[in-house]
Amino acid sequence: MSFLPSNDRQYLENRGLPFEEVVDASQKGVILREFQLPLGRFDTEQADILILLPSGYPDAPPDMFYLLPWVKLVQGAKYPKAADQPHQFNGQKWQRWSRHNNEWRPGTDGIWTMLKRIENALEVTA
Amino acid sequence: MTNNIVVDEIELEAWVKQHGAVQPPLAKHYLVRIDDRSYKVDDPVITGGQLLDEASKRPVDEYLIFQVLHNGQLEEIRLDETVELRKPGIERFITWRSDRSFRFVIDGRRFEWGAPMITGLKLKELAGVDLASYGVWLELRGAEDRPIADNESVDLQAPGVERFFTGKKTTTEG
Repeated sequence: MSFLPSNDRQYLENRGLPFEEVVDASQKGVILREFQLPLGRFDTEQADILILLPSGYPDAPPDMFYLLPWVKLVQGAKYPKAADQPHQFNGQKWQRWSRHNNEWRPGTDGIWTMLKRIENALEVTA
Repeated sequence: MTNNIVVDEIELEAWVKQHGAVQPPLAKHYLVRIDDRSYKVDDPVITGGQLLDEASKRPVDEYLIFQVLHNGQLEEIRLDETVELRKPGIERFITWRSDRSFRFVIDGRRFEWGAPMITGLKLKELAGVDLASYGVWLELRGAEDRPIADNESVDLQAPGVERFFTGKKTTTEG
């Protein structure tokens, strides 16, 4: 099933990021496969990233994001801050990164700006 | 008829600031801003070429002139194309010495730019985002987006239409 807005799809394809659109009961999610994590920060180099799309997306913002496998910080071998809770999706327990968007521009923002926030959150996490 | 009232001089940019999208009355002279200076013209219907000539940008065919729309977008005025200076929304013009214009897209909106280079700051200004808290990125084919710093210049001469987008990087935890 395909539910991503064409702008989002175009962005992901142009950037060459492999992705899948998955529906689990009432939840719709985009899974970015084998996403490269910032080098040397985590105990794994790549992970799948799940972005759940709320009903009303892209006018309504996506909120948190989810990783599989679960990652720990190399330094201290612990979970990153506010990333120690599971979320069930598509038969798997994802690592929930509780990160929130405070501003979202309907009609302008999309999966590309969500991804910038995710990349930044991965970069600055402690 | 209020339309026939003739005032001596109207400064178009100041008029728009004061009155918004209201057509200014007929006047003997109009002050129009081109780049960083004001020029006095008598006829409110004027061509791109005449505006360039007023601003001493000669020979005019070596220059490009753009109308700056209130949302920051630029619209090229051809040399033989007439502009109605009294039309609400005509505020100012900018010129470039260049033999062609360059096209790019920010946040899905298409822009024309008269110079082959543009800075990150200018891109954010054109997109109308908060300059301090927003970033701007250039989309690259098959690669990560390239962040453009405020003072960094992007070359628009590469083949194809450059695609940029702005966005916030920050999230709150918890």
